[in-house]
Amino acid sequence: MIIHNAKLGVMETPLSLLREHYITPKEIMYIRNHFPPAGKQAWYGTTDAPAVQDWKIRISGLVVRPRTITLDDLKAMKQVKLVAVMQCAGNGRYYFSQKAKVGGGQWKHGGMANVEWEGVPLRAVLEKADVGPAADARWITANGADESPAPKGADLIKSFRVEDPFLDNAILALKMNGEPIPAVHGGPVRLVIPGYYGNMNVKWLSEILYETEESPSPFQSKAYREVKKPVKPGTFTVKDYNTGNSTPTYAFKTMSVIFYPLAEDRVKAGPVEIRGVAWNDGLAPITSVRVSTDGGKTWQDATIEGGAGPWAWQKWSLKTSLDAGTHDLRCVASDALGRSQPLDGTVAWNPKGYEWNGADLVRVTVA
Amino acid sequence: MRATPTHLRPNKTCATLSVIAPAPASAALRPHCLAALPGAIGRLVLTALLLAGGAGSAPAQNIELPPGPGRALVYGRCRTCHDLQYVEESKGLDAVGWDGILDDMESYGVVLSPEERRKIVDYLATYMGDQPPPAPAAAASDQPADGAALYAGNCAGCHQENAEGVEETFPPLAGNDDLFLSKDFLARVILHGLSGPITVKGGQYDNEMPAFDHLSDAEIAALVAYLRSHFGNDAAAHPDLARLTAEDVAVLRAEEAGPEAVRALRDELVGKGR
Ligand code: HEC
Ligand code: HEC
Repeated sequence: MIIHNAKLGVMETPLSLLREHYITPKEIMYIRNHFPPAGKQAWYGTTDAPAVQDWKIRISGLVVRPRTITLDDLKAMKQVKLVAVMQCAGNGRYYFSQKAKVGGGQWKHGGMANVEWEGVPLRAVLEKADVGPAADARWITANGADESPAPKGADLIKSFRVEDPFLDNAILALKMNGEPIPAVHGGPVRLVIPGYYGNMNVKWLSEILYETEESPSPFQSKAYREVKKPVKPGTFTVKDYNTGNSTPTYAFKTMSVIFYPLAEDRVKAGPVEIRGVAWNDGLAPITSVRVSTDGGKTWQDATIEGGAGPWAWQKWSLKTSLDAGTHDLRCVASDALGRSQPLDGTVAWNPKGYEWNGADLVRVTVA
Repeated sequence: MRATPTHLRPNKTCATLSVIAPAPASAALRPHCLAALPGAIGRLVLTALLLAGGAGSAPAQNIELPPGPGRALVYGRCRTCHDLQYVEESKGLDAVGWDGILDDMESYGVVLSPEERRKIVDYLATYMGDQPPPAPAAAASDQPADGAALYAGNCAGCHQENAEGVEETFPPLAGNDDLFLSKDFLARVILHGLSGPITVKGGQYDNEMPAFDHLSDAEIAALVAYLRSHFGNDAAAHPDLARLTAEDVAVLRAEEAGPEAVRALRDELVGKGR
């Protein structure tokens, strides 16, 4: 694993490990946490589920009947299962820094995982709670139990439009890969919004608020925002973000990576099967993955083998042959809405380094 | 039940965590139990490093930054929420970039005086900036050996200005008898850090304090004297504990110890019932 912050256990998975499992096991799943729940620093030391007897989620804000629901209430409701990519909005940040340095952990491609979640649909929970939101409560804010070690510090909080169609597929997840969710991954209850970047999937969910405005928390208004229009290094800095020129890092951009071969693989000249995965926000199927073995001069269509549902990794492969020497392998995915990946991902350079989706580039030496 | 791949099967004898170490190449992985290893976070990080065949980047929380004026403030103010690897990985930002990072950190809850903020930005822009840094400044301290200033710059970021700490996270240093557990205990915490479960004034903590061994012997002696005579600690003062001198600190500095060893020492001292 590649450590980005030992204190918080922040780390990414090398692709050489990630590729060994279609469903990413908890032991090697990337971790990105800001703060632990108060007094629970020890949760960071294990991939076990947290030892909690009960867990309460308060649903309130601009509502007539605020309610508190418990873990048992959630367990008693109908559960659904889905497989979805979990991906940090900063996944690939390192590649932006090749153009001009962006601050923060220099993640390569390993800030992602393909995971099976199980839980109760958010809409069903809200309907059952029947809190009676006011007509002008246009935002839903989700808050987790993490707490800043600074007494007046902000903690992670996220807001969504009440009618956001992505929330139709969201679940209050109680299980990951068939087991109670490990604390480091947000257990006992995590808001999972398939197709949305990791930070939107609030861990240790403890509060849902109906409000007229989005949360003023810096985690909504400053951190994890993507510029609306392309910007250039030097002319737009981290100081220039505001809620008008940027949006929260909500839905995944279309993306693909090569899993085999990687730079460290020993490849023999002759026939080879190039393999990888592609994914997007799940709104439309991945319809094409094109692969180049000569750095982008010529392209071949890979076979899309598909995956476990619209939000999961879509496996692809291409049988081809490679001569001895050095080859720059590339891949580009597109979906049925025509959403694809730029060959030069740095066209989307932004000072916070979010939402990288440039075409992968793997240099392999064939013997 | 679906069969778990052997290399992911939890090790039954391991209370907390099964650790997976790589065999040569990416073949089968062997489970190991490292429950005996210190520190909760240390365990997880170790797991991670073993997974990567030890190829991870800086495993320790104690990341050393290039010496220069202002570094001590970064050590004192910037490890409350995360360790300094974010700073290290952000190396190469220009002055505006670092200034912007400080804006963000303030919005997350960092409290700095304008003077402290200026010193930190200057340090980061000079030593972690987009231009080659000047020849390392003499590691000589940029802080006067004045207890109050030393406390504010190095300790208040976590233990708070009034030394009352933060519930469940940073123990209080105010009205805290532990400062008198032995002549050396407090200096050892400062020099080597402290990690693991402890009880302070009835509150539970299971966290990690990094080492402050970049402070000079005289600074640590001054801090010890200051803490033992302020924040209501004078009431608990034990006149039979001889005053700790800079020479004493020099001797302690030479010992091989880490946050875990200091915790073990603490357990022993507390066990003795003082
Ligand atoms: C109150 C808690 C807190 C303190 C204290 C703190 N930080 Fe941070 N820092 C954060 C959080 C939260 C993030 C992650 C933000 C994100 O992912 O957008 C972060 C991230 C960073 C990053 C990565 C870039 C980024 O914006 O993500 C750098 C560099 C950084 N901090 C530097 C500092 C420095 C220098 C100090 C000391 C002045 C400091 N931090 C003190 C909370 C804190
Ligand atoms: C980055 C945050 C941080 C900073 C800065 C910090 N500490 Fe700590 N300190 C801690 C934590 C966390 C603990 C508890 C460790 C544990 O749970 O084992 C602690 C514990 C202690 C203890 C043990 C208290 C007891 O009752 O046993 C002492 C003494 C102490 N700190 C002194 C200091 C001094 C002096 C400074 C300034 C040089 C300082 N600390 C700076 C985080 C910090």
